[in-house]
Amino acid sequence: MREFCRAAAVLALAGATLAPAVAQSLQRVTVRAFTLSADTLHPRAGASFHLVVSLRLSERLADVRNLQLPFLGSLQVLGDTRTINASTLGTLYREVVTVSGPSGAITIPPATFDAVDALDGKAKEYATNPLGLRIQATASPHSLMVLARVLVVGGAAMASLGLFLIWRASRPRRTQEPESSPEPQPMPSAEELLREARETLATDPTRLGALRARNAVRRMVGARDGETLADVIDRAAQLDRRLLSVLPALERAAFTDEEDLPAAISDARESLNEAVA
Amino acid sequence: MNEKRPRDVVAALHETIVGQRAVVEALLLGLIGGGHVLLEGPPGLAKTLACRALAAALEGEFRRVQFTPDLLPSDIVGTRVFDQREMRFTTMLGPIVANVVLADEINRAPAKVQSALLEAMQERQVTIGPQSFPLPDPFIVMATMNPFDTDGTYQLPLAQMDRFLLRVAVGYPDRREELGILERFAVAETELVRAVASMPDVLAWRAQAHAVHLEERLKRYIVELVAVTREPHDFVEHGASPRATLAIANLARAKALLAEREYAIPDDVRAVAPLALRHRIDFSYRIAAEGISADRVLESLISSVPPP
Repeated sequence: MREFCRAAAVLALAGATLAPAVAQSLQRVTVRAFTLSADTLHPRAGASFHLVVSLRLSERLADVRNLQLPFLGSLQVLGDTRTINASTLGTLYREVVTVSGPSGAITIPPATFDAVDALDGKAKEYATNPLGLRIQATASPHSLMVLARVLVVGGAAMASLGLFLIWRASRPRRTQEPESSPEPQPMPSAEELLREARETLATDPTRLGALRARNAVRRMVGARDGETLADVIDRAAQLDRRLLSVLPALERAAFTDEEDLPAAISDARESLNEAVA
Repeated sequence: MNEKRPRDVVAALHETIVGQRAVVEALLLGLIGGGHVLLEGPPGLAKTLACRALAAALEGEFRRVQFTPDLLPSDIVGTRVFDQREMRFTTMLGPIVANVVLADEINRAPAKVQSALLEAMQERQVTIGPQSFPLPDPFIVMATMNPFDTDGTYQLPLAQMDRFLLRVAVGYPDRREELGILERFAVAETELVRAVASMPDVLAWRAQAHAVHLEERLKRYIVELVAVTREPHDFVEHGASPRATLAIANLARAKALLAEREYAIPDDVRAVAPLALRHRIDFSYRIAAEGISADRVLESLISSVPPP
């Protein structure tokens, strides 16, 4: 019994010393922005494109620790570049990951960053937005190879699924089946969202229609709740150029007065037409 | 729209002032928003120059009052003196009777002087003996405070801080701006700012700003921003008053006018909210004890309210 107590005390002491060590390894920061974006929302299958994780902090730091990139699923990582710009205004950390992948819709989960919030001293896990991409198929030989690879992998997956279903059908049924989770909806492509916004404004040229169109385009650029137009345009380097005129036009339609509303909606529709064309 | 634009004033000021974009914009916001401005920052950061330049760019009458511990209310508002030739009292108006008044180091004067100034700011008139004198229109007070050298100063009470439409923290220039300062001021005297507008133009801009459209959802956003400062918080003792709500709305309209828009957008509100709220919130002593900046607490409060 005495041996057991001694072992328990040693374990408790180890636990007590370990917990503060973990807490101390977290950086004490104020997170101002933490985003995940891509240089294009409709890349070509097999062609490389960039995922960008941006972290803006109020403090001046020489390095950023405990930042976890998201699980990239079927995307193949081709390279990774990290830059850190620190000044008296704060720190901007950017990690650009070069990737490529097979065609299809993919939703990349959020990147995370563990740190102690300087405002309340509590350890927190910050997360970026998730990012929906639709990788488009190409007719190039390389993409055909990728497609063939996908078909082989898909075929194997289908065969496994078939075997699994046969095995499952042969099992005795339980009295209560758990509810199956709904299939994740693929993210609409950029063009689809722009068309959706344009059609919304065409069929409903009102303030409500303008707001719905604005929401569709904001969704397309991965804008999060709490981001304003300036925040979105701040990421202009990663934005499709066509959107630089669409976003302010929709902002005007959403917030102008009733007298100016028809003209604002007309301008927004024109911008959307140009963007879709 | 008025032919003369607020943007021309900003451009004219930057011909003399290197950097300090936030200060120049805040002065214009205060001017168009029809309120008074509190500039807080260490000495030597062009606070006085900016105020003087603004008055020159608008062909307005400028007065500067250096606040000291022995200043009297009559030194600011004026007094009655006995004219021996006429054998009667005549009124000598003080330096407050001007379009742009710079109250330098406002926290160095005792409470009764601060109170006389702040009353004039609110009432826009001064009373000397039995007579009241209206102050010119537009009338804007720009007060400066040095946050470091606080020995022998009189802290402004929250109720008096509330009279300022906005407070702007004046920071040090970056290296590139400081190089520009060296190049501009090492070889010549300060150049006079050219007049690009007049006081009637300012009144016209105020009318235009008043007509800037503030959508219903933006109004609700403003109300939420002020309300969140009143919720229980570890670092906040008392939140902002309804005057802050009006101030944010006025400043957002002014900001939209500066951007030459006839409607305000969420960016306008979010940009001006710290200017209107910072001096109206009573932060707890804990922020000093725990080494946390009040600006950061305010930033987190503002970012906790999602814009529409």
